[in-house]
Amino acid sequence: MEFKSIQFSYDKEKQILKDNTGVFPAGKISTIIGPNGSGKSTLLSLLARDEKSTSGSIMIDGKQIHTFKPKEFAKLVGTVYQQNEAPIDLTVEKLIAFGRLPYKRAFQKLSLEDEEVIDWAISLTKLEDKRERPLNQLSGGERQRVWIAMALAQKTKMLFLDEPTTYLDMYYQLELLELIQLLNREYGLTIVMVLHDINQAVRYSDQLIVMCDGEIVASGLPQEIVNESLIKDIYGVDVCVEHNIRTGLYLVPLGT
Amino acid sequence: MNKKNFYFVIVTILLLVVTGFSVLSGSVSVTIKELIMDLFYGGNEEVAVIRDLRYPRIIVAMFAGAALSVAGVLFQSVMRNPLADAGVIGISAGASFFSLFGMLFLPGLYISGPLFAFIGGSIACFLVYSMSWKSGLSPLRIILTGIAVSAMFTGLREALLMICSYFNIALGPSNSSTLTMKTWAEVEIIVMYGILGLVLAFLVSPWCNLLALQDKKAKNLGMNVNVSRIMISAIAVLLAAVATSVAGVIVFVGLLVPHIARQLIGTDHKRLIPFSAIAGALLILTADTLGRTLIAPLEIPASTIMAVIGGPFLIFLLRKSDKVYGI
Repeated sequence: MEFKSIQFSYDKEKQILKDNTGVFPAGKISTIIGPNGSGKSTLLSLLARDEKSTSGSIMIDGKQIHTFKPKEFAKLVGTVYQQNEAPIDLTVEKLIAFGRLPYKRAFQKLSLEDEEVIDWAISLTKLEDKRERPLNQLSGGERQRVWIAMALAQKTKMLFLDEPTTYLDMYYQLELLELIQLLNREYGLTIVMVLHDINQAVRYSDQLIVMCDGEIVASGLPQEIVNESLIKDIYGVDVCVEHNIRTGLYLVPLGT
Repeated sequence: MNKKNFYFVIVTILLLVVTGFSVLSGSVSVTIKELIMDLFYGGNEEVAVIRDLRYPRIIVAMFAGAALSVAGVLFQSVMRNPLADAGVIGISAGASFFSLFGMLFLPGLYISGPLFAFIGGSIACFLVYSMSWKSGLSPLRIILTGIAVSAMFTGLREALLMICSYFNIALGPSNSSTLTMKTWAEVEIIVMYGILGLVLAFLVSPWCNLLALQDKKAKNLGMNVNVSRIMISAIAVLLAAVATSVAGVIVFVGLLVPHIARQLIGTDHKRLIPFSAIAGALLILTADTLGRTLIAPLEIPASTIMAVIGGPFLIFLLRKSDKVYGI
């Protein structure tokens, strides 16, 4: 997926995204980072077709994304949001089955193949023993996995995640990131996500895209672009960037 | 038998019992035997009265209840708001004003009542949408807009009635917006369009289920959210308009029934829609039967009974609205 000089604004006065160009290489994990209000979620929502860019072009396999029919696009891109809504009495299995809708005509029943895909999505996200449970009986981490499973059931090449770890504790955050890494390494999914934690972003991404004030200010390999002055510039925070063999590159915030 | 099927059976049995009770009670009373005999041989004058007056009333009450309840389910689904009810948000008032309008200016047209009711309901629906869209269809905003729309159309209707009485224009019994004096012609209208609307509602139940997710999520899954929203709304307006044009404005049915139905059988629209239809029929038929037997020969209209039960219920829902499904 690549995008060229895309701009976005809700009204004429304030431009939220100014002229951004970039590429999300196939089969890689790309992570967008940046301070609050820098436009990273907006960028993701344009790429997922939730919003339409004011100008510029976004292409998948050389084709403009807005030329795809809704169901065709749903077979290419799955999206998981930070907050999701569903009726609380819906069971895990039924919610995940929604992921097969792009492959169904109206009123068509689930086929054996659909069931297999659903089983596959459930086993990858380790929800086997929860499949009959209603959503309100799940923990936050499990619930986020259900939404990922639903996107997986769409059998897309690309998976977008908007701050998937925000409301989770450390264990579930890592569990989720490991799942995302597995999906990328084993199943070749192209991942594009927005993260807040820079250490996690550095550790799990092949490519970092750093945004500030509606613009991409840096992009590339995490080890090459993350340094003390970049973080100071965009977050206004003094950090110490360290490197060691066990942990790779990591940074420790020192103060504002 | 699981619990959900059990509720289905219970409600159906209750509906049959109340129907039987309703047929047999009233100022003219007959026995079951006489009813059945008349069915085959005819000739019983008392039963003929029941056939001409009581049967139509019962059928109209049931279909009005079913249609308004299902309209409520649909509005709640598309507006993502558990407080949406055709009466509360002004759809019924719009339908009521326009059907009176149609009756006055195109009286010859057989279909004019329901057709004009549909146009009026659609206008009211459009007004509510356009004025609460920017707030992300916030529940309170919808209610407030609905009250305004409702007041406006009720006022217009009253003005029209006043003008009619000034010029001595007779409106006929079909204008009386209660369940009394229903004819078989009216039964035909409500049964025909009622069944059409109910079947369509059942067919779109998968869409309703999908709209319970966020709009953007439904879009991600390849759904055309706006088109489905317009179509579901149109079906809901059809149901509400038909019920209103035949049975008058009855508020709160579409609020009470779907809410209780969700508690009993869950939020899956494939069950919720048929269950609400049966339960709504039961509720209005019960209200009407009680209304005409409690203080006979005087009558309390079913709409009055519903307003008395429904008012406190709306307050109750508003109080706990942050916990209710959908918001």
